[in-house]
Amino acid sequence: MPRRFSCIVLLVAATLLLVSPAVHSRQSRIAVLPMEDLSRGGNGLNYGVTQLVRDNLASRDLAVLGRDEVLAFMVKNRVRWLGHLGSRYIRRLHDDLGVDYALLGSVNQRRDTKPYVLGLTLQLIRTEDARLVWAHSVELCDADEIGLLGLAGSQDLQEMERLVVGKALQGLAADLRQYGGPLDIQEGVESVFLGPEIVRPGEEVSCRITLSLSASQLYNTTVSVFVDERIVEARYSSVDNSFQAVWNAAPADGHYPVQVAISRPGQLDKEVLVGGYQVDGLAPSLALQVKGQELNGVVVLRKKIDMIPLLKNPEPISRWRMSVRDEEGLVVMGDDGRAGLPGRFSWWGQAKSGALVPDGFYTIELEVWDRVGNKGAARQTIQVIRQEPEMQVALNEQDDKVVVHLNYAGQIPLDYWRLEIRDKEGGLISESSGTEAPEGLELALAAMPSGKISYHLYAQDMLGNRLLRQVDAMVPLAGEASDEGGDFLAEAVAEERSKVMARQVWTEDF
Amino acid sequence: MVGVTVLFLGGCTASRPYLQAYTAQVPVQACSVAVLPVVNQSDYDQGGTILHRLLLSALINERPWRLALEGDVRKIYRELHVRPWQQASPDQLRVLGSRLEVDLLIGGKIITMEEQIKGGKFNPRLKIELQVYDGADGTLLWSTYHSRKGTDYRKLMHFGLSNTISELGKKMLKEILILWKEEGLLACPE
Repeated sequence: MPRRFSCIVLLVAATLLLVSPAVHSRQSRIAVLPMEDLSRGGNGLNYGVTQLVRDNLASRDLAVLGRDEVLAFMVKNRVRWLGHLGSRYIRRLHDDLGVDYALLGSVNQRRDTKPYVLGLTLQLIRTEDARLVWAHSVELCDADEIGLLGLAGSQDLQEMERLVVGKALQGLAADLRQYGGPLDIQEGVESVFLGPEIVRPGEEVSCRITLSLSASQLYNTTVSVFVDERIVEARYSSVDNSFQAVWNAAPADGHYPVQVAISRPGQLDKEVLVGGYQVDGLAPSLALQVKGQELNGVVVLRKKIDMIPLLKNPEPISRWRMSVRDEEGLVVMGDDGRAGLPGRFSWWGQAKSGALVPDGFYTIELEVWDRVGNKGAARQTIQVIRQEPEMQVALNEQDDKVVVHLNYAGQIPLDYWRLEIRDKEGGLISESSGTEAPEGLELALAAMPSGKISYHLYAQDMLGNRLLRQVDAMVPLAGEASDEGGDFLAEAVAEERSKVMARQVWTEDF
Repeated sequence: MVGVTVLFLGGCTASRPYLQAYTAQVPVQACSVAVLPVVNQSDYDQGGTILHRLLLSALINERPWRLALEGDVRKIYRELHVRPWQQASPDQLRVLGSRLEVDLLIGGKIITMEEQIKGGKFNPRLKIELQVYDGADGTLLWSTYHSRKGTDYRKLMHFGLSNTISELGKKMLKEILILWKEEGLLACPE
């Protein structure tokens, strides 16, 4: 070999030796993800701080991934959130873009009026094993910058942003490889879809498992599901590189944990608890408590009744239906809803049209369905009674007195009654009251004034139904000529002009 | 002088975190940790996320743990239908521990988080509770309650004051981690 040629070979070899470390230790490639701005609510973006971080890193010996590349990555992978990334996306940054580190961060606090505040947290994640290797938080407030002489810091918010970013990255080593120790690649379950969460006995349950393994690693990998002392083999689907196991739920009610076993050739089996499901075959146990006055053991509606549904074993309800049926079984009123069962129902005795339903017996039925469709129901019979107390007044002349007979034939006990007899000027001649209908009231005829008399009758039954009756008897008493002749009192009653006042009409409450 | 002394003493008498252990035996190994979304019971917007990120930062600066990524924790929460503002049930905690392959799960709750601004001066207040669960079975191992005001850290005049909720949170978390270390709760054999 000529001497000159060997010199050249030596020179080239020496150059290669000198250059090679630099070639092997290439610049770390880092992706700066957009900084989340928590001061702007969930998923706020702070572009200014992101750019400051990028500029700061670019000034170091780091290859910073272009902003457009980062955005394209986020769009391609449908990353619609900021401030955090799962290891699945972190690994894609490594595999797809050759990124060594991802820098994520959030502006925790930001106040753009005096006194300015800025808080920033940065996280550095090694992409190869998706490991958080470094993090730092810096907070700065105007008030922090007040010096000994009481002089306030002079910076505006932009200056503060530069200061905070500089302080946050100050502690970041020039060589990022010093962080995190040896690689620790976690291979396991990446995502799980287990459903439904709650089923009836025997219904189908499925579990789709995606592993954090490459396509080549998935080869010869078997996945089994352990549930209810059974082993269910999961089938591999090359469409989405997932494993799917399907089985029928156990016959007994209860919570069943689901465990996944991953077997790979040459590797220890891995068992991971991935979730659980609930078996529910029991109908909701329901009671309906109706609040109101009772008559012969049945709650009576006069104005309204309140119904309180009670779930004996409280559980979420998917839907409910309340219906009111008349004696023929026709639904006169109903309501339904989804999810939450109301704590109380009120019925004002109206039909769907808004009109009041006639007196009679009605059945209130409440049906509820739990999350898997088990149905529970409760019924209560109520009675609608709005009829006012029926009282007849009979006046009979006996010797020298007038006997007043009050006749009450109603089923509902009276709460009280009051009878007033007045002369034609409205002066009170007699008044009587009580809680039970009297056998007969005797009024001395001699004490009766000449001319016409009238009576006012008030009564209320125990349900609150009221009778207000004003009868202008226009009775020609003894000594005065009677056109009709005969028993003038009986005639008077026959001619009485009854004016039953409706309850809604204003009257003095008695 | 008296005023300065009082201020100085005020800075020294601030309360320590209160630790309640629920088991006599802590896990022998606590080398990997997952921080769960912090439940925010205060009116401070995004307070839970702020504390979560501060806690991650405090933990990684304590030692080189294997810390589960926030994104992974949130994904499992979604799969289990747990909202970030809800406390996970014991069954769900077991799943989280198994899926994330961690020794400990740290959950948190913000009881009070507020920043009062008077005359250009801040006075943040923070009351938090951290719960630590066994990653293997989801049992509650210990919990720590800590309450502080920004003025608790006053050293002299305005020096030492914590003016922001983030700074106050950071200091409080550091105190909590120191206490846990003192109690030997964060042991990871090399």
